[in-house]
Amino acid sequence: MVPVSGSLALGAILFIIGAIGALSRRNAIIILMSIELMLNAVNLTFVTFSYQVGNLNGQIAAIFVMAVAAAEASVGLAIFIALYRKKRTANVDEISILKW
Amino acid sequence: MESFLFYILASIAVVSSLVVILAKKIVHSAIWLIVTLLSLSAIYVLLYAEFLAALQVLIYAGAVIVLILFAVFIINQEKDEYEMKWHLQTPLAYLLGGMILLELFFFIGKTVFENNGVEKISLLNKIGNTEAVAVELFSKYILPFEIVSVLLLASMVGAVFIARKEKE
Repeated sequence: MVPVSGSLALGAILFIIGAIGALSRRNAIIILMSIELMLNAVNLTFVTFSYQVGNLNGQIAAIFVMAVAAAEASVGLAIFIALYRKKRTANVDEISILKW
Repeated sequence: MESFLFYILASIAVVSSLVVILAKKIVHSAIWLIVTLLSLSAIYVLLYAEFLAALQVLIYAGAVIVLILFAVFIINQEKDEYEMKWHLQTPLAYLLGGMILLELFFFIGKTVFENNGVEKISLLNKIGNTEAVAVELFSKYILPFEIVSVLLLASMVGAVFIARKEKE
């Protein structure tokens, strides 16, 4: 019997760790990895509630979240690679103008 | 027994996610993210979600991290792997994150959860979790399923188009 509040607390901890990583790091790839961490924390919350309530809706929502996260990671990395070709830096502080 | 395993996996997940955001080299962060995702997959098995656990290993640890590692090795930045300047944003992020975490703990602690879903889920999983999820996914959730497939097609085309070489 997995503790439900313990699992929700783990989801909250992982989400906040991901949010802190996305806010405090300056490298674009680490920011993308922190966003993936946040999405995984949300998945864990969904599955925990599916376990607690007793139906499978949470697991199906987690499947959709996973699909959208994979799509978003690929597009984000494509944008980052295209940006790196022009600017030659991975630091998000230096990507501060909208058009050059 | 299950809660003991859960606490071990939870501590592995928390420690490895801390290393992800605090490591100095990007490759170390990516490897520790794999550890986090695999420990989460094991937690999904404990939570009667075996299909999702297999999907997590396949999609996240198998495709998304490999994509991130491709990007890391294409970038291959020797200098400036750790940020040199000090920003005000960093301690502010920690402070706000800590405050929100305490608030979330407060609300999770106050809620009383009736733990009556385990029997229902084991009954649903009698035909196997994959088949149970498939029965729901292809009957009730068929519209989001088709929309997600269109979304994946659009994101694939978009990613290939954005990252292509420019014609000289």
